[in-house]
Amino acid sequence: MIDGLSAIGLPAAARPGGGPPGGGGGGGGGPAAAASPSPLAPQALALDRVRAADVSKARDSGITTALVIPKEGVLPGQSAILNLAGDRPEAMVLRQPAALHLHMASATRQYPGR
Amino acid sequence: MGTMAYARQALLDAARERDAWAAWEKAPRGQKRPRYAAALVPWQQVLAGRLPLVVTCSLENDVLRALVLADEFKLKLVLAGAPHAFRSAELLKSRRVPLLVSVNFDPPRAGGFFGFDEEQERRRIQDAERNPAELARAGVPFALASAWAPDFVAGIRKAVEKGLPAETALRAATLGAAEALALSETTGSLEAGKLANVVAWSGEPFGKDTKARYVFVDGRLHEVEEDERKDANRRPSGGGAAGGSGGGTAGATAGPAQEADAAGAAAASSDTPAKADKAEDKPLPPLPVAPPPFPVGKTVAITGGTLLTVGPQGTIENGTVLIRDGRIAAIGRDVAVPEGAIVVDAKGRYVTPGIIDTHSHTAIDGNVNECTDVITAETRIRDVIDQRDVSIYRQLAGGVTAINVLHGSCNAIGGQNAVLKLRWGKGPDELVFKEAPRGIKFALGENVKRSNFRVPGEPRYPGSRMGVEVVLREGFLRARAYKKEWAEHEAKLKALAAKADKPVPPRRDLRLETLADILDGKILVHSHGYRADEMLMLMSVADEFGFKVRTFQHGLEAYKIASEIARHGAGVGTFIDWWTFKVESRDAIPYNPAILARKGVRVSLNSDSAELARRLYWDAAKAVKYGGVSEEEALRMITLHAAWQLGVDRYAGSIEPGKHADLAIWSGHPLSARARCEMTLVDGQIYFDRAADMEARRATAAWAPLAPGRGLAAAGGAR
Repeated sequence: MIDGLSAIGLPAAARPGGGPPGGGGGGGGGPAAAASPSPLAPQALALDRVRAADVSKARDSGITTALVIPKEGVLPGQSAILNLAGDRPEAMVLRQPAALHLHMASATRQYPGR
Repeated sequence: MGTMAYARQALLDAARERDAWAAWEKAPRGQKRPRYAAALVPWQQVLAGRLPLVVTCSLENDVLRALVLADEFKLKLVLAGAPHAFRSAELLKSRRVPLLVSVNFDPPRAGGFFGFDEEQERRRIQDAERNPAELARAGVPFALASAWAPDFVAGIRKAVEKGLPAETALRAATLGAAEALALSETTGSLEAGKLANVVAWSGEPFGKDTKARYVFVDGRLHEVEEDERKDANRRPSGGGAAGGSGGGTAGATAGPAQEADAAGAAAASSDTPAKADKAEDKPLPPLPVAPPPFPVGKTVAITGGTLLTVGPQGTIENGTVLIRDGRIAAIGRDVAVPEGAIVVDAKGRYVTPGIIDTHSHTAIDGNVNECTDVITAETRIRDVIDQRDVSIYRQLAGGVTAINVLHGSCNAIGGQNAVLKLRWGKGPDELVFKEAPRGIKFALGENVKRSNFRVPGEPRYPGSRMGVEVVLREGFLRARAYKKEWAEHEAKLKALAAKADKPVPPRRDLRLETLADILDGKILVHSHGYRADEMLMLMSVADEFGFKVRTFQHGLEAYKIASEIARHGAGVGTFIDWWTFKVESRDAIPYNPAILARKGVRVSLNSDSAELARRLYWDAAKAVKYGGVSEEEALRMITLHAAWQLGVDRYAGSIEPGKHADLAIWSGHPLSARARCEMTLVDGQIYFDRAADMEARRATAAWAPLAPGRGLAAAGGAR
């Protein structure tokens, strides 16, 4: 299956409510992974934040390919389309960058609100 | 609202930077090097068609907004999320935009200005769940996506439960998704030469207890994790049918063996839903429907009523209003009704121009305020109209035909307004009062300095009334400089030889452009403000920069400076008997409209509230009581003066030949507390008919207890 809009492999810091990352936390998160992305970061690359070890749960559910982009922000950056296997994010790439993303109705305290 | 404005500005900036760099690289000598902005590079890729723009849509009309943006800038668009996409099925079918539909059935709540509407929210969730099935039924091609839901498969299963054929679901989550992402040559189906991305399931892919057993990615087998299977084995399961050859142990049925966070999420979402599920299943009453329109070209005659024209003809007893092509063709006692005309009998009734509410926040999708900056003039209410707000219909039932939908009062200069006609049932663009000039919201006082509420985060300038004035003056000084910059550029262009290279134009700044249009008198200024001192301040700033304030909104202390307001030429849109609801309203008196009217100020009585909006005729009656305003002047305060304030008095606000046939028909004199609106017409079409409404309620089980005849006894029980 192909999930066309997901945060598979992205650290949970990028998800609302925080909490530990899905895969039982390898690595403890490098500085890049821990930093919360700006809501307006069209130049950000989702691929830079992917952790290869964190895709196994999604894969176990039957997803083989996914477009990956954070849910938060208004302009969360550029997505990657990944095949969900490989020891490094680069090895998983089917297309990079895949698209620029604009999320409507993500409330933030920075301009623009909504 | 801000998102749309921001995206437009980003795309304009990207295009300009692209041109500036091209020009500089071609002829760098003596020219200033443009600035490099990493954030604009991806937008340039999008403009060049090298990168698609994926717009995640949450609200129904986000789909329209994304299409507007794509059309304005010729972008390669992919729509994602879109939990109400089926409502735009025809449009989506004709546009053929790739669509990644969400199976995340917990869409974000859109808390409107007046808080959270539970019924509306339930409607949204029910919509989302049947969305894939409805899209399939309508023949719209689409893909499914988890939209960040923790369990994609569970989401698909739910969509299938709600009527999506399993086969369609499977295609939408495989080949359909590959097509939407332009990957169908690479993957998405079991075909020779494609990537060996293959899943072996324990049963039907979206069956209740089905699990993925073997997952191949790029031809390599990835065993489904061991501990998960162990967990599954602990459960007494009957579903292990799919023969466990190879390394597989017994059947991988649905176990609770999620990882901690997923289990937590599931638990969280399954405890409310136990209850919510029931509420969800209860069908909601359908939205009311306007009566079918009259056939095109038909003449309509409203006969026998007392016409309160609010125009030069005053009151006409036993008069006729003749309507042709949505306009008033003739009025009077002796107007002949042509043969074949549709006759609306108004005997014993009163006919007035439709009420115009000059201060409304009805039909706004999402936030009414773009609070994040002190000037957000580039935002536009027109981008965020929600035509499905049931308040539109309810206001029709109060005789209202047009509303001035304003941005909130959180900043000194807020967004641009939208004047709407209440054409209930029509799309957002069709609601717009086309002849209305542009308007904008200003605000003064407590809300701008944010003293009435706690705002998280950094304090925002200004924190005082002094600061508000500075913001305005600074804004308009910058707008002047902006105008000058463009004027110089235009002059340079004119002086150039026809074949010479054109200089790169100055940056288009949508915010300053709007302020410049205010300076040029192209935009009507509607300024929120309560206190006399701050209204005086705004008038002096306006005088300094050479523009006019069209209306003061609220203006509860306007009576103190009635002469000054009259001299400036502004109108006042106010409340009749609201006071002490905030510190600024301490000096409010109900004689405010009467005093202003006596000084020649055009006053409107408006609502600022979806509730009050349907009872504005009562407020007009109160103006007669407080200060002895004449009945005719009181009616003008909700019709003709209101129309003038919005710049549409040539088209609406009174019953006069040539004006739009926007009318309300009342059971009695509309200034009587016993009067009730019986019928409301916009452009000569009936959009509310009380008799038909009552009939419809009888037919709708959920409303039956409230239908006449069953009445309060059934609805209210023992009193």
